[in-house]
Amino acid sequence: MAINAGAAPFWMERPSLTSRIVKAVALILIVTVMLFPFWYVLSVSLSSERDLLGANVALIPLHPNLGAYTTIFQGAVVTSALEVSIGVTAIGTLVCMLMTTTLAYGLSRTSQVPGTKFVLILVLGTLLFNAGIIPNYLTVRYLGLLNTYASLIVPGLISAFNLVVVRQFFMGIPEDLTDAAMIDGANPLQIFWHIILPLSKAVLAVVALFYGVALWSDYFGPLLYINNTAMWPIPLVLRLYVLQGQALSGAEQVGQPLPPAQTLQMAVVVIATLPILFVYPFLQRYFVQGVLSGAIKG
Amino acid sequence: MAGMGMLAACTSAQPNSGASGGTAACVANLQFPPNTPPERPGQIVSKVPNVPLAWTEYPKPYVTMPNPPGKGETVTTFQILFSSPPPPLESNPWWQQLNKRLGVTIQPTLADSPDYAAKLNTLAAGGSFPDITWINFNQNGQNNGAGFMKFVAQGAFNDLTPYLTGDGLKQFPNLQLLPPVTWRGSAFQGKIYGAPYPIQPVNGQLGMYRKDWAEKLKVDNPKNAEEVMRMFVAFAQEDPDGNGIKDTWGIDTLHPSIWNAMFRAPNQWRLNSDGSLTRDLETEEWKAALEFAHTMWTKGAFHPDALTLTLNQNMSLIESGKTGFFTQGGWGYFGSQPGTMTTLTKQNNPDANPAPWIPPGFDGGKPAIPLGTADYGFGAIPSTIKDEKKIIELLHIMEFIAAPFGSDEFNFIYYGIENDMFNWVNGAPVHVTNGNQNWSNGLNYLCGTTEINYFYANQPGEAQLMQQLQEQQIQASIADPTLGLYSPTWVAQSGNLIKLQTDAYNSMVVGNSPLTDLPKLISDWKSQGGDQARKEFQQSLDKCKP
Repeated sequence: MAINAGAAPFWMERPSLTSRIVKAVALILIVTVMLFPFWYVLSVSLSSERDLLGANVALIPLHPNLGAYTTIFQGAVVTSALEVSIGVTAIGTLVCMLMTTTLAYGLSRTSQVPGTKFVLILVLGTLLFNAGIIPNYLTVRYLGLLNTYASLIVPGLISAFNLVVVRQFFMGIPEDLTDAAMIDGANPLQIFWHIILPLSKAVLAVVALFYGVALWSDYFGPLLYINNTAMWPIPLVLRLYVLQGQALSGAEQVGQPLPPAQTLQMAVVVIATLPILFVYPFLQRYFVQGVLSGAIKG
Repeated sequence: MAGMGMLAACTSAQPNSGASGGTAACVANLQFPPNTPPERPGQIVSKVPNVPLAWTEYPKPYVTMPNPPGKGETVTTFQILFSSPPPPLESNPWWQQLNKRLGVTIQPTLADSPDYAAKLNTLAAGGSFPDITWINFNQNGQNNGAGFMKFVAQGAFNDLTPYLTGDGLKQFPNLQLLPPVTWRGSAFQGKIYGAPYPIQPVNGQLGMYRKDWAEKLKVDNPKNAEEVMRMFVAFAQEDPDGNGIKDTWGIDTLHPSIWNAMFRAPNQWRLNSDGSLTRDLETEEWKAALEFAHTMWTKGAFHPDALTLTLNQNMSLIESGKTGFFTQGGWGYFGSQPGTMTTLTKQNNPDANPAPWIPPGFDGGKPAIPLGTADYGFGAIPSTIKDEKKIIELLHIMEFIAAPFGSDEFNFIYYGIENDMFNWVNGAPVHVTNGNQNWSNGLNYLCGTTEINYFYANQPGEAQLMQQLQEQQIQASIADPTLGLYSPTWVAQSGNLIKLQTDAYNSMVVGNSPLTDLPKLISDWKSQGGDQARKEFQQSLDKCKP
C-alpha cells in the first residue's frame, strides 16, 4: 500500500469520541483516587460529634461546624508551632538557596575556579555516605546549636542533590553571556545577580520548593535537637496529636466536652498541610520546566 | 556506641556510680525507716499491706517544706509529656511560681511519651543527662524496650542507696513517706537510683465494663472463663445498644494480662518449689490463656483493630458506646467528676452504667493478678554530678514534688494556682474550666504521690470503693520472683525477648500464626537469651535468699 505523503501523522489526528471518553474516565478516576483522602480529612475535620459517633461521616458533612478549628486556635500550641514552622521554612529556604546557588555557581565555572573538582567530590560524597544520627547530633551539639532554630537549618544547609541540579543548570548557560558581561565591566557578583539568577528562575523555583517542603516537614531534626517545647514546629505537634492522639491543651475545658478527637486530629492535619498547598500553585509553572532542566539538550 | 563514655570514677566516699558489672545487692536487704503517715481527718488506712490511702475528705493544707530547697541556680530536667506541652516560662505563671517555690530555675526537656525513648537515647549519645532525669524502664509497656537499663548498669547515674534508704532517707521526710514497696519496686540490681513515682501495686488490671449491656443481655457477673467469653461475645454479637446495627465490640485491645490472670499464669516468671524458674510462656496456664484469647478473637469479641488501637482511641470507643470494656493504669477513669471516662461515657450514652470489673478465675476460683512494681519510673541524678551538696539539693527538689497528699506543696504541684487553676468546692480542690491546667503539663510529673491517694472530690464512697477494689486485687495477686534481681543478659536482651513474645502472642491470637507455633516461640525465646537470663536470675536468687 503506498504511503500517502500528504496525510498527517497519526499522533496529530483528532482523537475519536471513544478514545476521548476513555481518557476522560481514566483521568477522573485517577483524580478521584488522589483527591479522596484529602477530601475525607477535610470532611472529618468539619464533622460534628453525632456524625462521628453514628458513623455518618459523609463526603459532604451532614452537620458541619468549625468547632475543631476554633478549639485548636484557642490553644496556643498549634498556633505557636505554625509560627515556628513558617519562620524556619521561610528563613531556612532563603539561606539554603543562597548557599546552594553561590556554591553551584562557583562549581559551574570549572575553568575559572581552581579546585572545583575536589570540592564537588566532597559534596557528592555526602550523597553516598551519611555519618548517622549520633555523629550528626554530636556535631550539632559541639557547634553549640542545640535547642536553637539554627539546628533545624544548618545541618541541611546545602543538599548535595539540589546542588547538582542547580550546578548542572548553570553549566547550561552559555559562557558567552557571562564573558560579554565581563567585557562590559561587570564583576562576578553582578553577573551572578543580574544574568545567572534571572535566567534560572525555573530551577530556582523547584529547588526552593524542595528545600521548603523538606524544612516544613522535618520531624526528626526538631525531635533530636530541640528541647524547649515552645520551639516545637508543626510536625512534632502533628505527631503528638494525630499519631498518638494526645489531648489538646490550652483549649482543654475541664467539664466541657471537646470536639471529638478525630475531628481535632484531622483539623491539625489540614492546618499543617495548607501552607505548602498554598505555595505550590505559584511555583507550578516553573516546576515542569525546572525538573526537566538539562534533560533535553539543544 | 559513640558518646556513651560516661563512666564516672567511683570513690567509696561519694555516691557509688555503680559502674558496669558491679556487684548487685539484694532488694530484700534494702531497709527503709517507718513511713507511717501522720493521722489526718478522713484518712483511711487499709488493713491490707501496701494498699494506698483513701480519703473521705480533703485535708486542710499544711506546709511540709517552708524553705525553698534550691540555691538559686538553673536545674535541668528530663521529663515525660502525656499531653500537650505547657506554655513557655515567660507566659506560664505556674512555672514561674514553681521556680520561686523551689528556689531554682527549672529548665526542662520534655519528651512526649511516644518519643521518650528516642529522646533519652539521644541524650545518652550526647554524653550528658540533665540534672534530674526521669527514667522508666517500662515505658510504653515495653520493659527495657529502649535499653535504658544499660545506661544505669554502665554507671550513667549515681547510686543513691546511701541517701534513699535507712537513716539516709530520714533527711528527706516527704520521700520517707513513699511506700517501701515502691522503693523496692524501683530498685535496679538491688540499688536505688532515684526517687520513684509511686503508683498502686496492682495497676492497669481493673477493668471498666458496660454493666448495663451485661444486664440487658443477661450475661452479667460472669463466674468463670466460659461466662466471661459469653459476656464479651454477647457485647459484640447481640446488639447491646439496641440500634439494630452490628457496631459494637466486646473489648478494644487484646489485654493479655487479664486472661493470664484468669488462668493464673505466672507473673513473668514462676519460682518452682525446687528453686528453678519457669518463664510464663513455658507454662500450661499461659497457653490456656492464649487459646482463650484466640477463641475470643475468632468469635469477634475483640475490635478488628485490636493490634493498633492507641489508648486515646480505646477511650473514644468506650465513651462512644462502641466497646464494652476498658482498662488503663491509675484509677482516674472512674468517678463522676467532669471529664472522666465514666462521665463522658454516660454523657454520650445516657443509659450506660460503666462499672468496675475484676476477672474471675477460669474455674470459678480466684484469679492470679500480676503484682506490679508499684512505681512508674524514677528521677535519677547523672553520675557526672559528684558534689554531694548538689545531690542532696536535687533530692530535696524531688522531695518537694513528692509532698504528701493535701499538703500545700501537693496542692500547688497537682492543682496549681488557686483561682487561676482550681477553686475550693466544699473543702476540696476542683479544677476550674478555663484551660489553665496546661500550665503544669509535664513539669509536675516526676515522683509525686497523686496516684497512691484515692480521692474523688464530692463523691462519697468512691475513694473507699477504689481502695476496696485494690485490696481485692492485691489479695489475689502474685509477684514476679525476679523483681530486683540481677541478670546482665536480661538487661541486654529483655527488650528483644519481650518483643519476640508479644509479637508472637499477637500473631497467634489473631490467627496470623497457628497456635502450634507456641513451641517454636518457646524455643526461640530460650535460645535468644531467655535460658541465659534464667540461669543468671537463679544465681542471683541463690545469693539473695533470706
